[in-house]
Amino acid sequence: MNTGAVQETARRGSRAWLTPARKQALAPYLLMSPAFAILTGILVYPSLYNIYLSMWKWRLTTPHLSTFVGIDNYVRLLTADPDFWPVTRFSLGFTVATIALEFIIGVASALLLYGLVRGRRLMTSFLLTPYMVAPIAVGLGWRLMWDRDIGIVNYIITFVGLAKVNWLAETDAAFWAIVISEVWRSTPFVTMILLAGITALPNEVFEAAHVDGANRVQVFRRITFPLILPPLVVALLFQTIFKLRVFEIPYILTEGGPGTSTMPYGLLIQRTYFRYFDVGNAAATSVVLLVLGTGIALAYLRLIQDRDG
Amino acid sequence: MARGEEQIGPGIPSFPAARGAMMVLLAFSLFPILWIMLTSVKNETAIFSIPPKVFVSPDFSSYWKFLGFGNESALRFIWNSTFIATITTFLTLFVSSLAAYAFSRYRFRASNYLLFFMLATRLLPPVTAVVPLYLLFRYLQILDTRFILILIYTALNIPFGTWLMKAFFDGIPKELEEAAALDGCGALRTLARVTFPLASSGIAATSIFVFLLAWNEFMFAFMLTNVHARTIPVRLAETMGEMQVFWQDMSTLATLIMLPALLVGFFMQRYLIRALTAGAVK
Repeated sequence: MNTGAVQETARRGSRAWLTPARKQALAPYLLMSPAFAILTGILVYPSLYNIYLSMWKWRLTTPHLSTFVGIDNYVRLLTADPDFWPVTRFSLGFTVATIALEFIIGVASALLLYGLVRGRRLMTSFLLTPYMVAPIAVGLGWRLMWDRDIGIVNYIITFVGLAKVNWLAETDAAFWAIVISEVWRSTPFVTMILLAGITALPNEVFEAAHVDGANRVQVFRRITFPLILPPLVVALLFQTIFKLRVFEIPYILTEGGPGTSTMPYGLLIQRTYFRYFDVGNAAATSVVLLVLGTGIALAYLRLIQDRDG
Repeated sequence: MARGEEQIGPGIPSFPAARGAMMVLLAFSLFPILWIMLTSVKNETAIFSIPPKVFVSPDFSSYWKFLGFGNESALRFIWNSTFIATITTFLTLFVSSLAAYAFSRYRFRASNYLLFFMLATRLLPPVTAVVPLYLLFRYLQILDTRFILILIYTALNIPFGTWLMKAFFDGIPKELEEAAALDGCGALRTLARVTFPLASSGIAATSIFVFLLAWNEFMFAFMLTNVHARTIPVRLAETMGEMQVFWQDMSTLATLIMLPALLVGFFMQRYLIRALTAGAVK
């Protein structure tokens, strides 16, 4: 503390604690306190509170019979629960399939948009539209199109002479119906990030390659692709995290069926809690999802740090 | 943008094959949206006809039903959604601007850790908060109120909003604020007259993003509301009956939800893309 501040302190007497220097030091904490209060109270604390809830055998219908059971809920979930592993398998398969497709379509769209000489803005707007649509509306719109009897997809299939598919009631068909609907919705996110990445690249690189006689495929493989890899990796990892949250589209298209073959974690938690009123198991499932999400998030942050450092 | 046909660019697309691919992508992107809109003006007979009808005499009856004041009016749900999304946008902007300003302008010890913590929360799956929040709100007897949805949507958007606003504050030179201070502006006046106007494009980008997320959100609204605070996405999901979907009702409500979002996306594209790509491309 410098002499000025000491004098100031002396002069103020009883309010001595709050010196201008301290005021300055406290200001940022004061400014960010509302943000952290809401964030902690509504998201962080409730998520962690699951750990406590998950150690109880507790049904909403019979709260007076609650007993502390330790890790029993986890043991049951991982070894005896008929739904947990199918749900995990669906989530992983869904993540891999959607991300692979979004990556391919996203790269193609970004290159095509970049290559447009006229109408690029308008075309970008059009390709961005699916991302604006509420996921719940995406689900219902595609349900209309996948419908066995009146759906446009089956109409096209029979038009070219193939047999109708019962899209939403057969395990494999339902999986792909959900994947394609989700790819339709969220590819624009990948496209936009890649387009921004490509646009940020200096044009000279391409010109130099062109002068050296490289063809289009070579330019893409040797120059563009390595240069857009960093934003690409970030986009894809974000997408991975978002795929674990998928809820609306499977809920609308199949309600997780047939059986539990297309059920995401969110729907499993919702069902355990709101249909079976089983607080302990819903909380245990949440904790497992939390651990999985945190694992992916840490991998993601690690990758970003490596990139920056 | 004068790029000649000769130029090779970043590789691959070449005309006219590229033009064909573009058309396929365009059709894939727009067809489902147009199909929903078309279905909303078809009556039952037209919806169930095979081959599917494209040219129908439009039947707007379900629009009158939902936008009128009768029994099945959806105005209440539209109002709930509008109210929740608007208040969420203002609250998020206010709270995250304050935090972003602190992160951008003050050097203090915990700064990096707090920013890291804030961004890390964005990576947690929000569904894990549902059960504890339900128990909490039930205990406080505030289930099924617009208030809790506003709080939740704000919490969900704070990390991203702060991150975005911080990027915009970082872009405003500190010297401008210092000059204003020298001219006798107090801290608050500097903020109101200098910093915020300069960050207006950031504020636009953040508001659009937050508004759309709140307007479109379904999962929390579905699980935590019942009658009073029901939003339009939840009403949309109810067109899915036990045995069948009421297709015309469904596509009408879907169109009503989509329209504002599509208009915003179309006319505010620049801001939206900025918000989407912030964080991934530096």
